[in-house]
Amino acid sequence: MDGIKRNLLYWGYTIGLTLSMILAMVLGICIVTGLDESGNILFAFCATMDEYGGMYMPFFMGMLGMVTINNYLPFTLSMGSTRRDSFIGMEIMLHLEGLLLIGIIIAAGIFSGRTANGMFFFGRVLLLVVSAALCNLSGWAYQQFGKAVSLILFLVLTIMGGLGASVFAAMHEAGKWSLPQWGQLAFVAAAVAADCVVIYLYVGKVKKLEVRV
Amino acid sequence: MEHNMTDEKLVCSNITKTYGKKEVLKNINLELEKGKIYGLIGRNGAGKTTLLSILSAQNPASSGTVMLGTEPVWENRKALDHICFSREISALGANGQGNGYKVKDYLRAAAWYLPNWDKEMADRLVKEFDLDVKKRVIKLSKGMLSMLTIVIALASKADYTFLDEPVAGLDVVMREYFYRTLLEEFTESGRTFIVSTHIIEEAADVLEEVIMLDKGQIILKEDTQALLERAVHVSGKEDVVAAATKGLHCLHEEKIGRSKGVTVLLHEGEHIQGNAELSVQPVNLQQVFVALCKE
Amino acid sequence: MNEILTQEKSIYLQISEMLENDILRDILLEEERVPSTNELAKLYAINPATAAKGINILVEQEILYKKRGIGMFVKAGAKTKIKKRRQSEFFDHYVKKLLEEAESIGITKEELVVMIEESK
Repeated sequence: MDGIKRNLLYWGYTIGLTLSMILAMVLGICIVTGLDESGNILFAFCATMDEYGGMYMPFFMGMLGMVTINNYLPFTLSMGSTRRDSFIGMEIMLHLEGLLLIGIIIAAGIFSGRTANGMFFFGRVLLLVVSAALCNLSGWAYQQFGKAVSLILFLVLTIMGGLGASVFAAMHEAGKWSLPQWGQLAFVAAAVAADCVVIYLYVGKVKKLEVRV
Repeated sequence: MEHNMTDEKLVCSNITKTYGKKEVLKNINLELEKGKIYGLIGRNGAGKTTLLSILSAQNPASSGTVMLGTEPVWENRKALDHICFSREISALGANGQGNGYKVKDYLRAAAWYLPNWDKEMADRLVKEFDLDVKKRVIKLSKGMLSMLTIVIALASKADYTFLDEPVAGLDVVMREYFYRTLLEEFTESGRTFIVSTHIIEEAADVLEEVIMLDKGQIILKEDTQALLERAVHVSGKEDVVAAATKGLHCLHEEKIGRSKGVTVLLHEGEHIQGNAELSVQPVNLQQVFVALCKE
Repeated sequence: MNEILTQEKSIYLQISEMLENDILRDILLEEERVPSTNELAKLYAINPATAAKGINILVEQEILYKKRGIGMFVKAGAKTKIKKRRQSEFFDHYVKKLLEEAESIGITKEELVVMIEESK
């Protein structure tokens, strides 16, 4: 357990930095776009957070995934951690801090008055799983295909996912079509399954990872 | 029952490492004892870094095992807690280096990961080396990168500590300071150190035992002083030298005109006496190594 | 002590010789404490094991002895012992070379004796 503990500290810190970048970016957007008419900073932040945070989370996570497999993971190995401990610590903190971020987004959404219905929550849960999976996927893709391919792959996926999500949301909003409970569950289950598959692939890469100067 | 791993031997059996088609390490067998300073000597590309990576389980071997006492080293935190391999940090921020890390990021991570980390010692060394903790690793000079590596290695207080070319980039004054600091720490703690270097002669006095690696194989492992005692350079007139060195393990010879010089490794019971015709001189560690590589 | 280490001879032999020289020069007196292995290692920037080897030679020759818990001391009669041993080694270490060199450059034994007798 002790071997994982040191990794929880390190990855908690490292992933935390990435996530705070998202928060900082949202703040930046707030400042740039100016406060809205109500003049309430917190409200503006939350609205922006709800809108953009969710949008950019997968993007940051994907980038994190590539830096992780190439820099951070080998770094932990050079500090004497076992691959198993490092990987487990990383995945735990990835999902935990992802959850934290989602929590912030949800809270922001509720606070800024966005509809708190089933679709809303479903979308957020999906976002968490997909972001984590994307992080691992881009890392795996980097090792498998190289920098260029993995970058393109994850950008395409992110954009497609984003488009899909907004189409979905628009259609739902317009009352044209609504996803039943089982549909939502199926989606989330599929995403979780995808996350598991990607983790499995990722483990394969971690096992063979070499630390090089 | 908790048995003390601190005094266990680090044993390497039939280690081979292949990268693609190239066999970088061939059938390495090594037994390392507690409480010695070993020198891992070899040319660039001999496989020193690869060997140290495998000994510390940072990279996998293609075949063979590394054991610390009865525990395998690979993916085993119990064994790895006693080992520290402070790698050469590349300024390019390449694979294995934190992305844009500063010196203090390294030190913080070391404190998290290394179970015996001595913060006081680290702070003291950072001060003595005049390292700016806020500086990004990418911006550090080669010398300062070496110093950071040294700080981590020494403050790790690991029973088996490996340093890969620790003096690269250090000027001569800092190099001497490093050897003295290493000896001081060794004397006080009795930790095992493996220092890999290709700057051989300077380190010779500090190394108790030398392991010579050439083209992925161990060509020699011996107590430094014992090795130096049996290495001689014999010179004089060609036929006199030939007669004197007949049947002996000759490493390398040079000829010019009628004179000939031979570097010889004497084996148990062998002896060459100098006289008016024959000069018999001692050979230093660097010369022995170069001669062995040419063999 | 405070001589520099050379490349001519094994370091541990140089260590023991230096200690012997100091004993002969009355820098180290009998029953006085001799620097420890670690102190010597630090002074000369060498591995403690090497320093220990040098000291052990002198212990074997009964020039130094160990006082448990305190350190290494110069044994009584060490100076005499060293002189005696060096006297017996004198021929091999100095005279033989002298004779060989003289022969190779054509100086006869008689000329050598004259040189010695006329020297100051």
